[in-house]
Order: sequence, then structure tokens, then C-alpha cells
Amino acid sequence: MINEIVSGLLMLIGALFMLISSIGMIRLPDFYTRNSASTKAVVLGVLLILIGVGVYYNDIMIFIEIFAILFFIFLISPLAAHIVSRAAVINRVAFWNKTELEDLEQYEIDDEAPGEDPQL
Amino acid sequence: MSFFTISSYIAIGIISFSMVLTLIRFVKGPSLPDRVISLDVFSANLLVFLAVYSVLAGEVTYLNVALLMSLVIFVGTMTFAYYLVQKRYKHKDDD
Repeated sequence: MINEIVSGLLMLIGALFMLISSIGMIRLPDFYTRNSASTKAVVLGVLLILIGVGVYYNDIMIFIEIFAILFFIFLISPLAAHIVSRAAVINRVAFWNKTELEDLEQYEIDDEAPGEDPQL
Repeated sequence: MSFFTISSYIAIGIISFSMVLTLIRFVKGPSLPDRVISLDVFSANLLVFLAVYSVLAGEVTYLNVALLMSLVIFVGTMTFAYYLVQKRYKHKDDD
């Protein structure tokens, strides 16, 4: 009985975090800010909902499986955000006009030969 | 209906609404990386939807599908990022 209540609360809070990240995908002004919305809130929402599901089942095999899913999500999400935003900088996706770009200017994105790494 | 059933139905409703919001960004998105990350968020929403639905349907098998989804998300996003970088170099060759 008590684990059903805990599980329901965890699932509701996790679904609210997923909703917050999707609202951020709509409302934020820029690709790079949207990328931050798509990373952190999604990871927290997936964590809460999967722990809620595991608490409901209350079985060690389910917990191992959920741990595997969480391991992949935690490994993948920062890596994918980094690589996609690096590809966006290389492709010169426009920044928001209020972003301060002074730190980025030291990395000059020149036209290089194909296959060379642009050192970002 | 118990509290758990009601809350899982509400969670499925919220997750479906956020899937609709990410699809709006997928249609509108001005650049290709916007579409890539909106697909990423959409797949994460789908994973969570499968997890909650496995509780509602009483089928543990859907959790295996969610495990596979988490791998497919990774491969899809990496492939799109690699394609984006390669496309930039291709354009420079044409100039």
C-alpha cells in the first residue's frame, strides 16, 4: 500500500519534469538554450519515473533492468548534447542576440581541410 | 480506483502532451540540430511512456523494449551529429 503511494508520487513528479523540458523546447529562444533544456530535465524525469516503476514492482530483477536503462541514459545524454552542439557550432547555427560570445572568439572556426578536427 | 492508478493515468496524459509539444518543435525547428534534439526528447518521452504503460498493463516485457529504446536513441543522435559535421565539410569542398 505504501509503496503504491510512493510510486505514484514519483511518477507524477517525473512526468512534471518531462513536461517542463518540453515547454522549454517550445519557449526558449535559441538552439543552445534548448539543448540545455533537453538534457538536464529529461534525465531527472527519466530517473524519477523509472525509480517509481521499480518501487511498484518491488523485485530485484526489475531493479537491475532499470539500473541498466539509467546507466545508458546517464552515459548518453551529456555525450549526445555535447556532440550535437559541437556540430551546431561547426555548422554556424545562429546564437541568440543576448548571448555573450567573447569566450568563443578564441576558438577560430576556420575553413579547414576535410577530416581535420576543428579543435572545439 | 486507487491512488496509484489515477496518478499513472495522469502521468501518461502529461507525457503524451509533452510528446505533442516536442513534435511542434520538430515541425517548426529552424535548423537541423533543433530537429535532432527534439527527436531526442521525443524518444526519451516514449521510453518513459513505455515504462508507465508496463505498470498499467501488468506486462514486464515493455521494460525490455524501453532498454532497447535507450540504445536506439544513442545511435540515432550520434549518426545525425556525424552527418551534420560531414555535411559542413562537403560544402567546403564544393566552394
